[in-house]
Amino acid sequence: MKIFEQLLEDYVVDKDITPQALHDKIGAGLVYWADLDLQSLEIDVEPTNNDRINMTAAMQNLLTVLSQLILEDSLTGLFNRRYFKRALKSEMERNVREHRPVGLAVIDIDHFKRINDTWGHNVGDEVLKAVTMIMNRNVRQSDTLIRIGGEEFAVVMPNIRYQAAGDAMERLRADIANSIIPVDSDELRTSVSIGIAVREPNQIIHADELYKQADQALYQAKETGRNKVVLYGPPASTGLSSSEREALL
Amino acid sequence: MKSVAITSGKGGVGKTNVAVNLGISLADLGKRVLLFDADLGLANVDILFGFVAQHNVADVLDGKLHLRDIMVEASNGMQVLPATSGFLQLEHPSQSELAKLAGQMDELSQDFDVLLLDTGAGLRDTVLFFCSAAEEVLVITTPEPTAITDAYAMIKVLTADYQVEAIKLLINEAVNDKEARQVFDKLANVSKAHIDFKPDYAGWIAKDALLETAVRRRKPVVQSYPSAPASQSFQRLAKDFDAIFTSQSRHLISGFWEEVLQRRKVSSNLS
Repeated sequence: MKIFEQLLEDYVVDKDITPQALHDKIGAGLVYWADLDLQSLEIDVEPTNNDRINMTAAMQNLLTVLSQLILEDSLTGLFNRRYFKRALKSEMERNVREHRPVGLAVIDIDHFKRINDTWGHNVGDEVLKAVTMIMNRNVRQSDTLIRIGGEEFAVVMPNIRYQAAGDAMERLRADIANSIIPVDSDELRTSVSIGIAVREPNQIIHADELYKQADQALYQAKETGRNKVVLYGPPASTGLSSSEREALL
Repeated sequence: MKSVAITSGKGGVGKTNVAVNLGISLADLGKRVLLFDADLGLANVDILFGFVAQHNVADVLDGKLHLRDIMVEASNGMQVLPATSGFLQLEHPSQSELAKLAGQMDELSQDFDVLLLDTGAGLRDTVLFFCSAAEEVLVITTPEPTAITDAYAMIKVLTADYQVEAIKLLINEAVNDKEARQVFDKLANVSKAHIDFKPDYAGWIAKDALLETAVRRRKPVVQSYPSAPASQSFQRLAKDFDAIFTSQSRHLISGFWEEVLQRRKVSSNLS
């Protein structure tokens, strides 16, 4: 029941979901419950061990479906904001234990409102899906892609160095900028701005702070012309070039 | 009031020892010194002095007290603004909380000749805030390679991203003047070549086992062993102070931060 309690807590905390939507989602999950054929169980008869096992399995199925529904973004199939903080926090905790750096990129589609206004929301949705597809082919298996809101995405990158995170996101940015997105009988191009922050193993930074840093970098990317990648920092000495490093040692 | 931020790229190179002993030495020369323990969440100035503070910065951020109310006289002519250790919230103060502290320090400026800001190490928001708010930054390094690279990274970020123009390098735990000079020259040359910036030489502090002993006795070395090599280094640094540090004077909330905070205010008014 722990997952369920946590989900409900999330619901109360961010109120991102309307009661009706939650109700619908629980309704969908209950289909699994019905599979159990509860009617066959007589109320005053003590359930057998087998019944208990079945019920537990059904309950677990229900919870899995519920958590997927609640943590997934239905349009893109990515994780949603609700999953974001939890994923980032647990990834950071794991990386602290393993003494590895962790990177966070925040990605925002440039002038997305303009796309929506000019082409309509259906096209806007197509663009979100197309961008998701391009992002998916540019991140590593161990990375987690999340849609954190409207046209804003995040990539949690475990065990990545400052420079490598920048390179990876630069590839992603270029791929999006060079892609042609087919919409209706037309096609369009778009671009993204990306802010990155990396927590080095020796730094004391918690998840909120890392997010703030990546967001600040994103803001800078937007301010200075969009369609670009900006790295927050650099953290002590990781931002040094090899020639600087050599000269100092 | 002259404000100097004392910082380093790497932790454990002796920041707090420098701040405390330089502060006392300046006070001994008749300066009115205010030392702010600006490593908010991991403060330890009070430990070096051996006092337990009744109140600290947390009470100021809570709005209960003014910085003036938490000052402690740590030595003749030197007041300390103690912070606190182990308060997670204080390790990540917001920009407005930092601005509040800086603003209250500005209010205290007429009562003091020197404000020493003992910041934490590394490129953290709080550290960079105080370094960019102070008139001058004293970056401390030891002759150790990792300390040198991190000191350089600190100088690079301060000059490139925070428009800091006045940076002095102090070489701590040096065996002699020659070694200190070599470390300084290396850093200065790399800075000149790669970021077109030349830090100034603030001098060096002698490597001295008595400093450790003083820390364990919780009485600063210039007080417990005034003639020890390290103490003499601090006294010399204090005597050179006026020459090393320019004597212009401005508020913490000015220049770079005045602009940033002003922009903040404008954008929060809009939203």
